[in-house]
Amino acid sequence: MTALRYALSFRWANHLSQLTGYLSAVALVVATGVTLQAVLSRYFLGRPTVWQTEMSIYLLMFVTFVGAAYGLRHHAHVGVDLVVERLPERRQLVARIATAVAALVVVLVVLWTSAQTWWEAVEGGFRSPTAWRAPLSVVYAILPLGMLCVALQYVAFIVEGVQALLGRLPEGRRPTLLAISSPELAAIQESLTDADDEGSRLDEPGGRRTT
Amino acid sequence: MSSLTQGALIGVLGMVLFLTGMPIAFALALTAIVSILLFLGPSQFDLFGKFVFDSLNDFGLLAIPLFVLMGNLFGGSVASRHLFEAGEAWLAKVKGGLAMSSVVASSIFAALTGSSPATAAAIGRVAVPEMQQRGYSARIATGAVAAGGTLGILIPPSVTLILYGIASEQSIGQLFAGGIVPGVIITVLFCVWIYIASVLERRRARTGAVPATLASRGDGPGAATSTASRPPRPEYTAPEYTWGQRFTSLVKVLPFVALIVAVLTVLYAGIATPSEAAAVGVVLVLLLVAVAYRGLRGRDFLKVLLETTNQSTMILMITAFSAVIATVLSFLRVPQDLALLVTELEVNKWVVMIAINLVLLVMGLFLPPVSIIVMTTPVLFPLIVGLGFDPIWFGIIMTINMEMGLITPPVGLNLYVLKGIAPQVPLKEILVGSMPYVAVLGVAIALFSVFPGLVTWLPELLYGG
Repeated sequence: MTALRYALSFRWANHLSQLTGYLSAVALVVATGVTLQAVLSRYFLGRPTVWQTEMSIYLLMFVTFVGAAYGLRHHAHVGVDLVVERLPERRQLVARIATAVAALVVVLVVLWTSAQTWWEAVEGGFRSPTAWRAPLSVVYAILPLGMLCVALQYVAFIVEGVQALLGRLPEGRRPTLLAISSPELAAIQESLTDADDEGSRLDEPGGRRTT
Repeated sequence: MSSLTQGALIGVLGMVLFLTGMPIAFALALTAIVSILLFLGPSQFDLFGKFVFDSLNDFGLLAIPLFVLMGNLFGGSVASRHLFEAGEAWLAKVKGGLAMSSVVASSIFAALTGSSPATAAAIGRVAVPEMQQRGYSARIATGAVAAGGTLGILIPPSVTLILYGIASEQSIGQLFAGGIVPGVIITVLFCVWIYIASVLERRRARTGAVPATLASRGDGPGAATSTASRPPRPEYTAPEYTWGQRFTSLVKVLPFVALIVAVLTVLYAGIATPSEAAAVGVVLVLLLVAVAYRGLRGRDFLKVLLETTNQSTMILMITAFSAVIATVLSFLRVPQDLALLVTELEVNKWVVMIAINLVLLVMGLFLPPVSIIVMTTPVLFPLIVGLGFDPIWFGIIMTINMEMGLITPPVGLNLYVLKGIAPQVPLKEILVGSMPYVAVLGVAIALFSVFPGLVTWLPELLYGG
């Protein structure tokens, strides 16, 4: 019963989003390495760069589309909050849920169309029109995979928001939807407080300060 | 329906969706979906996923996460302290010298990062407490850091110039080169204003009204004047720096200068594209921070990577969906028809330029620079070229315009960064201190319009015209 409730609350999607962040971090390191390797081998060995450029573009897409779920979890996707912030808290939450539902629909549409493109590539065994001939069945999976993670994160937010509206959230817990602020600002504020104490630590999913 | 009406409808839809507070990236995606369904028909719709995919299929965009990563690696390091201290050693004797040091330090830090709020945070974290100790007024101190920080997107590397370059198909290397001289000139103009403001403030102080210091608790607008009854604070005496100390301070910033020179050399000697130069930069910074300084622990590095993911996905999601809208608009021939319409009006091209700048300024009040650049460049570009403006020059003008938006309310990011650094200063004081710099940036735009050579000289020199 509790397992079912956990599954239905979609809180596990938070952990999934966290995971997409770690995977994107790895992708960033690999992209740096691959690009550096391309420069070095071209400059010193005079070898043409065949696969490196293409590979780093795909890693870039991974960071963007799959990392988007991590970004959503950590309020990376800026919005114009001027109007919504003026509303009293409860109405603000209703507005946030409404825009989250709209965004979820958008994400599902992108997921649907990109999944079709991906499936065509799988069935046709398409490869990229370059010397490297990267299998598009893998490449075209990046966008739908990312949108799936984003959609799940949105569902988790919406479930949490509705629970808050119904007064079913534990005392003192604010729905994440209400904590949306500027990502750069949040990152900076965080680094400001961290710069002073040496023992800076990784932010746990639940413990993010809001400004 | 004419193409321009269709374009206007798409624009209005986007703006309305922004106001709902929906994340900009998804508001743009929704706008794109609706405009494809309305104006291109459902048959094109199956290609939507492919459109989104293709809009990121550009090696040039890789420069964004990599330069963001490079800047973030620097953000927490001692770089900003060394830069500020070097400026201080040389400028301590001048009126407003510390504020000028923070502007100069910002301009050099801007060469290590492509983001303005990051520059303001890195320098402000060091400079604001220092100025606070030395009795600088809140206005001068916070204004200088907020404005100095805006140089982050003008002096290369610059996230906004990369996006402009890709959207307008101009050389990112040339754009970067175009930002250097204006960056230096604006740094000087900022320092000139600091000098004027310091003199004005001292004169006002003699007549009795003591401006609020950083240290005093501002409890509202009245707080600044109520301090007048207090005994005047002791006049601060600048510490003496020997020439030896001055040169030692320069030696400390040498690694950063060497790094900047290395990245620029790799870029302009034709060894690497901007994205590749960014990768080289990241590795060099890693070596510098990990080896030469206190070292970089694994979890700090992971944290920097996660922050970079956050900022990159924000910028690139907006870019991806905005590019889809640009494709739709271009199918509808909106940019071309707009260019045609304005040219047929036969108004002076500078009138058009002023109008464009006003529109950008208004957008800058509400939207982050990244989204304005990716949304407006594809629409405005044919017009700019049609009127005979230099594309590199316009990229720089647009960026300076975006800098204004960073220090104007209601969503001037740098203002809030300063509020975060100096919570005791009322936002109003930060605002009053920063406003003159908007005028200075306006003067800079006018200056570069009268003398466009100031912008185009260096790119032409490096790329042979």
